[in-house]
Amino acid sequence: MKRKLKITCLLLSLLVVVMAGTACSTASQKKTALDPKNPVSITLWHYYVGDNKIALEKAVDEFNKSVGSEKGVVINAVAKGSIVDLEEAITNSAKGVINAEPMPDLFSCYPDKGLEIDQLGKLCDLNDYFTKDEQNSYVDEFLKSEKYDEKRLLNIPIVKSTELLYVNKTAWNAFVSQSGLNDSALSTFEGIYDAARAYYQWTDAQTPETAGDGKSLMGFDSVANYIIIGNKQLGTEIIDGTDSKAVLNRADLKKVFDLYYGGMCLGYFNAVSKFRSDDIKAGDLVAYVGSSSGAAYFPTWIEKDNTQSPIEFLALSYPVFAGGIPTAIEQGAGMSVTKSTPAKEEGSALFLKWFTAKEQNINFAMTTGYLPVEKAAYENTDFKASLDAMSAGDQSEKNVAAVYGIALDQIMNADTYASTPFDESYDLRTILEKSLMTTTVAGRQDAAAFRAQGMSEQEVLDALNLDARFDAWLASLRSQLDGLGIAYSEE
Amino acid sequence: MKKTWTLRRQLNILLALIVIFQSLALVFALFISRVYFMLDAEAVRLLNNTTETRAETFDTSVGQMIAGLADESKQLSTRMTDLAQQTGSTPQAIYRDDIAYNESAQIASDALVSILKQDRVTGAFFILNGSNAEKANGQAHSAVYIRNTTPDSEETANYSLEIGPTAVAKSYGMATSIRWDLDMKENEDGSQFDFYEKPFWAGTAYKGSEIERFGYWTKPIDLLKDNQQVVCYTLPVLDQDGNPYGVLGVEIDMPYFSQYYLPDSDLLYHNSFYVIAGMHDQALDLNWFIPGGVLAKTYLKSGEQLPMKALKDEGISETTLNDLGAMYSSMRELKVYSENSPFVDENWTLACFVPSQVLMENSQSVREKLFASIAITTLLAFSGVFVLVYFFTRKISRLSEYVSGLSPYDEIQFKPTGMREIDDLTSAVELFNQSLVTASQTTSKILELSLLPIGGYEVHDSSRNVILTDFLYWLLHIEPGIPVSKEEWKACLNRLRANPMEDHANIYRYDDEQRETQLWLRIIEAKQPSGVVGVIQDVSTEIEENRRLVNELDYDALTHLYSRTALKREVNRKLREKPDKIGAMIFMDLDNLKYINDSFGHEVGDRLIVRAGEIFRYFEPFGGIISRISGDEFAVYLHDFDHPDQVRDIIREFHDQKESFCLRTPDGESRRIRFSSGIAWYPQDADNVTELLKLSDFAMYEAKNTEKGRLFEFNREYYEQTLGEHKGESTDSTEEEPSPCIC
Repeated sequence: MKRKLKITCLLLSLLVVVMAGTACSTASQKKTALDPKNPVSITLWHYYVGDNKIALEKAVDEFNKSVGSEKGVVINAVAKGSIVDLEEAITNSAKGVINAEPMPDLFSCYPDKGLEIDQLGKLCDLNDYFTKDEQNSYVDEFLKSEKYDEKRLLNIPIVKSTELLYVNKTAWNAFVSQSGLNDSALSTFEGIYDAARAYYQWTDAQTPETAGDGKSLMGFDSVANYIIIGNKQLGTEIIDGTDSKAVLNRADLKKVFDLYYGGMCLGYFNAVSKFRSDDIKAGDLVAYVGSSSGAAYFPTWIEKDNTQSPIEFLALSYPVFAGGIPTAIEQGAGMSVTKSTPAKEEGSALFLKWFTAKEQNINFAMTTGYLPVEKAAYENTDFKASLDAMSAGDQSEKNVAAVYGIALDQIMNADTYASTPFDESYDLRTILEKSLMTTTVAGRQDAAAFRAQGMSEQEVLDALNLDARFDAWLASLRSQLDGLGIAYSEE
Repeated sequence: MKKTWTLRRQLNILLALIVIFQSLALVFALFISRVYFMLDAEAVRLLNNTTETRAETFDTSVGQMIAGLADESKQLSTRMTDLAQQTGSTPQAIYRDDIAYNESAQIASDALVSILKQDRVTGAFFILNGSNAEKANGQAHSAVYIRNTTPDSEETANYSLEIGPTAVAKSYGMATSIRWDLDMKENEDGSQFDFYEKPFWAGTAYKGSEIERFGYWTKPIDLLKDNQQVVCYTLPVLDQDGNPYGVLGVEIDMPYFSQYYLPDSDLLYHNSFYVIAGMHDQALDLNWFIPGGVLAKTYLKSGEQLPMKALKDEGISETTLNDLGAMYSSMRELKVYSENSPFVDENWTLACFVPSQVLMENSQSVREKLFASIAITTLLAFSGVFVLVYFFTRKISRLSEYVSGLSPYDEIQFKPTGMREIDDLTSAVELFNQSLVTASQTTSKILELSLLPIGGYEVHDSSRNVILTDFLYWLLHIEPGIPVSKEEWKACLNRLRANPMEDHANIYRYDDEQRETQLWLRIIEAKQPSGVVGVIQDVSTEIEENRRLVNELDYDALTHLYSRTALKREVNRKLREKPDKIGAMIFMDLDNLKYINDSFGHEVGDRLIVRAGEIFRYFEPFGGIISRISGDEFAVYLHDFDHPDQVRDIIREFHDQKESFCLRTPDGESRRIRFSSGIAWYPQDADNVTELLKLSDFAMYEAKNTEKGRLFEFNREYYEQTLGEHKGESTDSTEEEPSPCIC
């Protein structure tokens, strides 16, 4: 008996020592890394402005109060300005540039920019957080453009948009009534060019005392999209994601170049303010190709002599090059998750799932004219009802409804295209746009100088020598691509 | 007997008590010093510090912003006055002239951009006292309103023009917003326009004061009707006479307000948050409030009056929120107005809320961990005590186990314990044991040398074996030194005590079959407190001697008949056994012994006596007890008869043969043996053997005196008569020569 007591005492003391030693190291395996009692704080950088920013902040508030507080996630949304500012901030953070802010946990990002950040080893593969079923809930086309190598999921689509032709119907109709043209003139780029020339000449003629003060008809919000889609319509994938290279088809590029360069230099086309919708508001343009997401920005009146002058709106499909296949861009930044702690990654993924679920997604998308990304949204009665309500709403709502009409038509009929990203595709896109815009700026200055010499339009065109300018642009493109080590082929 | 405990238990209890006492003392000391409540005070101090620092930072930022805005307002005022002069107008009428208006918009936008670059605000605006576009509309005001969604960056391209001519947007390359407009319009009912009216009124009412005095803060309002709540600060823009003709203001939207002015990064405790609201009558008025983050938005209910109970710590109050429970709040009134401002009564209080539980969490956790540590330390100390005491006392326990396992024949050799006192003690014990062994060996040797066949044993209650001395090993044929268990010993002892000796206590006959001898053993045991000790002695020699002595006393050496003593004993025994029967004592005296002795010497006389003895053995078949009393006197006692005649018949038959009783003397003669005899009856004459002998002797003398060779029966009458006559007379008789034997 006594002996048993002794042994018990000894075992007890050993147990106490062992327990004290292991108490702190006991780790319970949890299914989730989230803890409602100790919420994880997630910083979200976005580029939304205006109503989109407000809508996002409202959504974030709602998430924080509901699912977030239930699961232990708090999202802090930080607006980083434009997409360019955001991308610069992200790149600096990812590269660890001195004085750069720490990487956010979640950020708005285009697929091709995402790839660049991923090259730095900073992105989380979302396949770990999104099941196959969850991935299947997104519109296949939208998710496909977010996937890299068909495997890694680096980006979740948030909303999508396409481009279309916005027209100040009031101004256009005034011109149409005089010129004998009709809306079909705006269906092809060549038609638009001709119409723009006619418009320039018509407006120029209204002030005979001043020569060369014709007004521009047309503008482009995204020159890059114009180049990519123009090539695509003509049969060339200038950003060839399959072979990870640029395809420079001389004939197609020339068509795209001549139209834009000529139009811009001769003042048929223009870009004055930050966005072409601003130019519409100022009465500087009659039409432009821009993103459906900017639908709400299209005004119901324009500024005329310091007063409001009401206008009507006409939404038309994205123009096509003559003989080309009708194609419009499919675009939209998604969101990427930074590689960090499991709790932050899981929390970010949780927010993305919530935010892209049809209820929240439709609300957010319809603030300005974006398209939801989940298949279910398109069959959703609320979505359709909202569209109907819009069509019956005030003028600005009717405008947005009209844009949806075109955008949904383009998306549903698979007339949209998104280039498959590869490691350097983001840079390629930037080079294409910047180089063309830069050379155009120089061309406009030269053209203005020629006009000042009293040259006619044709003389100016001849003086500019578009073939030589094109070759120069192509040469500049080549050297820039070589400089960045981007592969390209010429056809 | 006093209860005894083991050394181990005593040490365990003692040390455990010390540990308990120490732990209790520690807890008591901690309780007295209130150490763990100091952390609570520290938590409150930290909370107060955080709030204090935040309030100071806020006041400073706001102060700088107001100062900057006041400067901009003055500069704007100067430029506007210049413009008015250039256009031949007055500042009050600028909006009426298109060119002046367009120019004023540019001047204002320069000021606004400068403000947006300089201050941490999300928007800036300039509102004129009338509308250029709708000159007749008294509720419309020309304005320039620029928003900056990223106040942390100075990039003007990110600005958006909310209100104002597109020329402004173009000149700064900024976008126009969705709700872009040319004018700012008052609501139909005139509400929510205090950001314009209040500073305008103040500027008019307190004309001539410094411009900061007219500044006005709005509560959060949806200024541009875009679902964005903003807080605005506005100052009037004054003409050279000090009359207001517009306002210059800034807006801070709620997300940026909480992000920059009430940052979560300040907060030291989880589930805590800032809020700015008005404080009235010990209650936080939530009719308006600026939330400092998600939690404030979630848990504060708009329109509520939150009662705040002030606590003894300065600036600390207590309240209860529905979902978070009891909250502590540290509050500081913010300085958003100059002291001489007409709006100074509008209270802006910064409150930092922390759930009570969270604030006290650290101290609570420290308390819990402290007590857990004390408990664990105590437990560990207990374990340590048990283990150490176990190892410490093990050596001593082993000593005791060693000693208790020792047999008396083992030599004691203690293992050293390493404890000097104990080792000294064991050495002393070893020494003492050595002397004891020597003494014992000496005693044993002496006993052995004394040749006494004696041995001893000890049966100890607590021992399995029995201690035996050498003699017992010899007696029981056991190899000396071999342990004998109690059970074995009991069997041996039972064997030794199988045959107790009659009439002799503690003496037993023991047949030693191996030695083929019979031994007599005396076995004596004595009870001891701890068992039994005993002595076994071989008393065989003594018993034999005794027997021999008894034989000599009982029987006459010459005739081998009973002695007088033996006769008395045997007769007494018969009388005791059968007292109701009739018995006869026959006393006989040889008539001619003296003659034979004298004639032929004592040797022949002895033969006569021997022969007479043989003759008297005649009575043996009748149960007679035959005895030689002395010299020539014999006595025979017969018993167990129902009638005297039966005895008489036997005597008669004996007398009938008396002619044949002869002795051959050395002279070759065969001489008759004659004897006189007397008889006394039991119980008729006497009931005891002494009296029977005496009376039968008397009867024999009577016969001798009367006629030798005859048998006389005792006659009481005659006896009593004779007793009277011959009192003191000698009974000696003269002997005569025995007559020759007939046969």
